[in-house]
Amino acid sequence: MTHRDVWDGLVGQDKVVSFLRKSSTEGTTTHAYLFVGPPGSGKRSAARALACALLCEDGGCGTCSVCTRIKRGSYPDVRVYEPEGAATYMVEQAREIIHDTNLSPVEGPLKIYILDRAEAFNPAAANALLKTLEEPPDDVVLILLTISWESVLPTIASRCQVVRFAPVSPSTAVALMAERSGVGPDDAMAALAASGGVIPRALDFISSPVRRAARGRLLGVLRDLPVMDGRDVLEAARELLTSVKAPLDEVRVRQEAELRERVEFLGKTAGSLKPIEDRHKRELSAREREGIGELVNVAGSWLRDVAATAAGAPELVANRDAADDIAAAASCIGDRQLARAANAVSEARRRISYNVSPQLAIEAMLFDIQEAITCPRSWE
Amino acid sequence: MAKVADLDFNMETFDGDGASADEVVNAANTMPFLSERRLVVVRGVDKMGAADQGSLADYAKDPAPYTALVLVATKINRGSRLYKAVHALGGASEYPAPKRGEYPAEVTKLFAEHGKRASGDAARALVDAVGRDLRRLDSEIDKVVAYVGARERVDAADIAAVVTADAVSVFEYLDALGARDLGSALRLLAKLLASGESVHGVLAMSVRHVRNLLGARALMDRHTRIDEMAPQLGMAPWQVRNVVSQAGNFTPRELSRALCAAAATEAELKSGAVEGAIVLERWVMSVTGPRRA
Repeated sequence: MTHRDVWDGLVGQDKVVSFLRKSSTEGTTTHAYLFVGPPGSGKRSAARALACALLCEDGGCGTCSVCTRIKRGSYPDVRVYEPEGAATYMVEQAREIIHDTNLSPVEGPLKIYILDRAEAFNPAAANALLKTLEEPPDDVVLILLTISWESVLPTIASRCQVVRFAPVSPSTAVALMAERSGVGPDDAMAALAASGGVIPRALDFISSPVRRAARGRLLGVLRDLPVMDGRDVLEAARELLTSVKAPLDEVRVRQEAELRERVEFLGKTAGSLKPIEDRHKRELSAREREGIGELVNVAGSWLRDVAATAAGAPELVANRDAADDIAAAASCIGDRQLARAANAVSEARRRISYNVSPQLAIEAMLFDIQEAITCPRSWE
Repeated sequence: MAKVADLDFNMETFDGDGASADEVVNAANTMPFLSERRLVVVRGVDKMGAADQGSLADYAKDPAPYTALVLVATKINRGSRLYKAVHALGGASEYPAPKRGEYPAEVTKLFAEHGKRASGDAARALVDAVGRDLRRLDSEIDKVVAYVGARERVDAADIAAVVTADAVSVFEYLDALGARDLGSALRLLAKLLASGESVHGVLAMSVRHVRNLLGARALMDRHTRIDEMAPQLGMAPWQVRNVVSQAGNFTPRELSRALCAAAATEAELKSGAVEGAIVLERWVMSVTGPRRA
């Protein structure tokens, strides 16, 4: 590789990269892709890289205005969609996408649609989209992302070119984190555990002191849970929720800067700011959910660390900075208790996906873990 | 307005949420049809963007002489151009909702408009029975007025004869929950839902109550004195006594389980598979259920 470009960011996906790079330079890209791979394997980054390669005049230099705006999510012809329903895409959302594909691009030669969680198309929403998926307008490329091919409706999967992403091994991810942000392996592992193994999110996490502090607070709570009373637990949950909201201020500051830049550049014409403000609102609520997801991930990884230590495999511990507490917990919590506690964590994750109030979901998770890991008689 | 204009043909209503200022101004500048005046109403003008509000303010400088333009807003910034423009024309008026204690006086006033004199007891009884909703109060007053006929004076007995007191306070239900009185809790819950409370709202209040009970229960177990609890729980002393006596009906674990069950209940409600009231009733049963030995 002689020069750096957008594809360099994708680690451990050499086959995928060489395939996508080749088809974008040779002009053999197709109109619909389905990227399949486990969380953290780089599907979203690859989708953005492909968008850069197709829209940038230098085939994805990674530094020009087009590439930067695509990466930042503010390029008008690259649209990212996530399910708007509690767990699925709504039919209206599919119709909105279809309508949008029929409009001309705003700036570049193509419009690119990245549809995350393609498994979340229910039959009704999928049916609405099928025609577009099969024969989109000539200037449209659809990129669907999913964690498993089997969970995507066959009618959707069969209309896309499937690109499979290999899982990125933890050691590769840790090495990459060290290279990008200069963190040591311990911090990198902890960040990956908190972000569910997704490297860009882990890098974000590393650079946010408030999010790291929230993680530290939760590890402390998990250690003290057996001796906390109901009031302590409620207070801990409230604090954790507040600390999840704190990083949103960082996002707000960046959003305001973007708005100002926009106003300086284009002037304040009526309506021109509305789409940006809408996008900002969506981003804020997505970030809040992500922050709560991070808490759930940390709790899950802590329990997994306790289980690994109890099973005599302490080298697998991801939260090394809490290794002593983890060892102490491992010496007094049994397998069945751990399994019950782990169940509480997946329940919390499911509830949050159903849009249960975050505070209630976190409180319930903490109380459930507490009941699971505390000696059954001591609290009655 | 109805006296000077045929409103069937000369009235247009807009919603600030979706309408643009251009549409409104166009409507206002349209000549009346077979009538002297036109009426144009914009509800929720506060939901319009600043630019649209600006265009309306521009219109206010040179309004169509034959049109009455009525702008309705829940709240409006007094510094905004629109407010200033309307205020300059002397057209801004505020209709604040009465404060809690002012409702009986308001009811007396409404009776007076019908030419009736309501006693203080009657006004209070009506507010207690119906709640603080001016629209409902107004319709109940119509009923009472029709009932008393030509008689000028309205007494509490008239209210009792006509108005059924069906307004259940959510707090009665919460008290029944805290007392582990399943029968009353279910009965009150059914009334609450029948009176239009949403299952989500009732569940949210229930969760808040369980949190209070958990907090009070923990403080009791820490042997905190009751008079010291109020600031810690952020409640008035009389509320604390109530909550403490209820918290004594539960073990800490029962309360934390009630909270966990509420999370499961909310998830079930939001998945929408089962009818909400049934899901919520099931939760109430699990919370008030038999004490464990």
